[in-house]
Amino acid sequence: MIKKILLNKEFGENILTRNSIASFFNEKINNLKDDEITIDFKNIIFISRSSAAEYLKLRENSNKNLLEKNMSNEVKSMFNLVEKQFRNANFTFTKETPCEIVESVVI
Amino acid sequence: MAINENFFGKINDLDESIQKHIKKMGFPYPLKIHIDRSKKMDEEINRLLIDIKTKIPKTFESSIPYILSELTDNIEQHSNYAEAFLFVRYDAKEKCLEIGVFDDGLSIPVVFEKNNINYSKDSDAIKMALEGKTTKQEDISRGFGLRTTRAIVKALRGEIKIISREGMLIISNSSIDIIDFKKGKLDGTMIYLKLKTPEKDLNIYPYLE
Repeated sequence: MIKKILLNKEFGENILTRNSIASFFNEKINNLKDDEITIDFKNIIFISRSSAAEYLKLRENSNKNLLEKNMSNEVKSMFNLVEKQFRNANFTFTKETPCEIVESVVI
Repeated sequence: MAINENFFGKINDLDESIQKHIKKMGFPYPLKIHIDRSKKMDEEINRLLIDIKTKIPKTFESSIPYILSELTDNIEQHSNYAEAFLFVRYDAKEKCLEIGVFDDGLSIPVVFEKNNINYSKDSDAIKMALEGKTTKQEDISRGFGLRTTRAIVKALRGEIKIISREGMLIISNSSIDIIDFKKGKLDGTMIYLKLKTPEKDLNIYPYLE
């Protein structure tokens, strides 16, 4: 069974700061034994630009396979924006796995 | 009340005219949040956002979480603060939202100095920060906080006042006033925003490009 993390439980309705995302990866994600983890954005209303950027960076640096789901349009818009900015700067985190999280399944 | 007294203790050495400016900005109002190092910034802001959710018009959409998150992230990332104060106040009669953020950290000019970024006066350092100058140039995701906040404020036909150490900028849709203090300094940075209520739902994303 794939491990699932409900972000609302970790952050509340809004994900607001880089530090909170960094703590989430350092203290939670990277310490899990599971290699595949579902990140559930259900009831996350807003993610800040800084937090979305930090999430994308740490996601690419993590050796875990993360699958995001249940992103609201608002949250998707922010990830789209940040990802576009990275792409415009010809910035890919790794050549093999460029960031592509905004097309995750919404259920 | 104690928080207000604490705050005003920090501005007593400034020019009287600047003190008046600061008091006019809204900090005499009851402060919503006092954050010190024992508290988690994101948890406190989340609490504030829940508190104001039903008290401000929905047409602001995500502009307020965006602005608060960027301003407080800047404090966390750069200022090395001991204390920060925040307020959000909606004036239903004037249909205006006011946001005030103060931190007692390094200030923008000092952060630039520590990172060998040249500027002439403190007001220049503030202007550079507003234009996106960042101490973390190697990270392309940096330098957007104040710049995009300014873009959203413009969209909301608002004004920004920023005081950092010995400089002050007052920005409205039509003008920028630049002030460098003759006497005293603010140990830290204070940002005040006054925003008009949008008539239609505000989509912030076109302003964040």
